[in-house]
Formats: sequence, structure tokens, C-alpha cells
Amino acid sequence: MRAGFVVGALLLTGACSSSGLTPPPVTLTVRAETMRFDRTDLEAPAGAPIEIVLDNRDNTIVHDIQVKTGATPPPATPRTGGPSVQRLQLPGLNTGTYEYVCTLHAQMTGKLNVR
Amino acid sequence: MRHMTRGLGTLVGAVALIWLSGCGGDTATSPAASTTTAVPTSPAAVEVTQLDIDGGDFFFDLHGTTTIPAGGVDVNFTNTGTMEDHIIMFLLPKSGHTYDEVVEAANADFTGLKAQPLADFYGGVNAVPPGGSQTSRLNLDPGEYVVGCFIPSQTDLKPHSVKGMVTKLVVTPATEGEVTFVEPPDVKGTIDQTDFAFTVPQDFDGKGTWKVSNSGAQLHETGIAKLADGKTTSDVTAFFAGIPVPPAPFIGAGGLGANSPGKDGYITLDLAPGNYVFVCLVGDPTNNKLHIAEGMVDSFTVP
Repeated sequence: MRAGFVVGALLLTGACSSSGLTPPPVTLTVRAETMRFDRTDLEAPAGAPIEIVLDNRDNTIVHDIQVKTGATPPPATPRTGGPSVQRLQLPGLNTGTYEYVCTLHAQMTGKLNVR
Repeated sequence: MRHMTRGLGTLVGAVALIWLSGCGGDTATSPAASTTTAVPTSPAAVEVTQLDIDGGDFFFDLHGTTTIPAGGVDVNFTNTGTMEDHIIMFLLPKSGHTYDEVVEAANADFTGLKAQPLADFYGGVNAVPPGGSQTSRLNLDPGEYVVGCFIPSQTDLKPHSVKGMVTKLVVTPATEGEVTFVEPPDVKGTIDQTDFAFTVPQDFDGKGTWKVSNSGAQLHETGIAKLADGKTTSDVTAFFAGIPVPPAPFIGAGGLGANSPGKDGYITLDLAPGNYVFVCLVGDPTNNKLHIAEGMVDSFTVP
């Protein structure tokens, strides 16, 4: 009985990883307000497509969000003044920690933790 | 495209002046890549960082540069906006004070009175109009700088920093014993800032590279403003005697951003013919007056 439960659990796990299926996409929302990102630690599963939504609530202030994935150039949203919403689509990333920044305000940074 | 490079020292490279000129759009172009170019050096060579900065309405674009080495830096500043004059200043929080504290203080008072106790000022490029540019050579110590434009906007008198024109620049320490600064070549003379006057060489002609020193006991800036037709130094003084009401009797023409006592900077100018003033709008902490009200304004003509 116990052995059967363990086997079942392994099969479920395998459906998301060793079978090669892509994990479901995740959406992460970051708000830019008073020249800060409201979230400085984001989490996403390895391999899952990621959509980052930048909700710029700084009235007239121009922000973007750029993720340092190692790609050249790093993927980034357009720079737009608030209030505005921009979306950044990222492919599935390997396990690791990726910095994200506003390229116009070096004090606005955070980390995307992919596990 | 070079945005932040280290070049040989032979390369030439404010508390705000309130140049009142409208309010801007809210989009900007996508970022360009920054590059660092390795320059061959001999043991005697001193490197100077080339830092290209665009100032739009209302943001600074350092083209991806967030860290530079201590020592000489040529700040190559261009006002890419279309609405208002912009400056760029470099403030280093004093020991015990933070980046955020300095930003808050600077945002609250364009004269620098609130920020002066919290930060050392390392100069910068004073107000340049839309489309204008200027290079200043600065000597930056290590630390986390507040890079900002604190000019009050024409539309609401809020400083440009509140609208987005403030960012952080990290300056890393030099290697022990390394010589990191050299003055630009062909310096034509020294403009000295004192409490409360400018001492300007008689042959100052608004062209070429000039050293700007602060031998006073207070913070000073050397703002250069081109007078509008028919306007005089008295009009500038009167403009700043109360709350400035546009239009200003001048437009910005560069200069050095505010620098603390004992600090120097170098400005490279190419002023068009016309009548100008040097002006300092820093606040005097002993009486809260602007330095211009204490006589720190001087006129000159570029033939």
C-alpha cells in the first residue's frame, strides 16, 4: 500500500520534469511606486514561461524592468511613464537567481529566484 | 557606441539653477548597450572614465552603467529632453547617512540647504538647455552617489528628481597606490568660487577647458546663463529675489554643478556669442539666503 503511494507520487512528479513537459506559465506582477519596486524577491519554477507585469504607478515617471537573464540584450519592457502597465515575456529559465532592474533608476532592483 | 569607457588621461573630456522652460512626455527610447573599452596603459598612465549620460524629460540614461572606478571621470552630459533645462549633480552621502536620506533632503529643497549636512557635493554639469551638452571632469571618491537633477519644474516647481531624474551610481575604490586623476589638457585658467563671489581670469572667453575651484567655506556652484536679449544681471537677481515666475531672463549654458569646499572640477565650454552671467543659487546655511542675493553673480560677454 505504502509502496504504491510512493510510486504514484513519483509518477506525478515525473509529469512535470523528467517527462519533458513544460511547467505551466507563471505571471509575476511588480509594482513601481515612489521610485521603488514593491517586490524585490520573485519566485518561479525552472523551465516555466514567465510573464512579468510591470505596473508603473509613478505618475509621469518613466520606468522599465529588465531581467538579466544572460541574453544580449537583456529582455526588458519598453520605457513608459506612469500610470501604465507593461508585460515582459520570458522563456523558461534554468535554476538560478536573476537580477532585475529599472534601467533608469539604479536603486530599483530585485531578484528573480528560479528553483 | 561608447557609453562608459576608461580612456587615457589625455582625453578631454548645482544645486540647481532654476531655468524655467514646460513639462515633458512620458516615453523614452529603448536602452542602448553599454560597453567598456580596455585601453592599453603604461605604468605612468592615468585613466579617466568616460561616462556618457543623457538627461531626458525626466530621467537619466546612463546606458546601463551602474558602477565606475574611483578617480577621474569625464561626465559627457546631453540634455535629450525637449522641455526644460537639466543639470546633473553627484552627491556622496556623508558617513552615517544613506542614499535615501540624501535623496529626500535634496528633493525637499533645491537650494541644497537640507542636503548640505548630509552629503558631499562633487560637482557635475550645470544647467544645459534641450539639445545642449557639456563635459565636466570630476574626481570621484568611492561610494554610492546620488545622481540627480534638482531643478524645480516650470509647471509645478517640483524638482526634476521627484519626476524621475535621480539614480544611483556606485564608485568602487581604486587599487592602493594607484594614481587615478589627472587634470584635462590645455586648461586655460581657474574660476575660483569664494564666499560670495566668482574670481574669473581676465582672459576668460567662454571657450575651452577651465578649472573651477571652491576655496570658500560654503558649498558653491558655477552656473552659466545666457541672458535674453535686453536683460541684465539685475534682471537675474530680481528673478531669484522671490518665487521665480517664468519666463526667466536667461537660458542655461552649462557650468559646474555644486561642489563642496576644497573640491575642484573642470568644465569644457564652447559658448556662443552673447551676454552671460555666472551665478550661484546655493543656499547659505547661516541665513538661508541664496548666494546670488549675497553677491555671487557676475557678468561676462562672449564676443
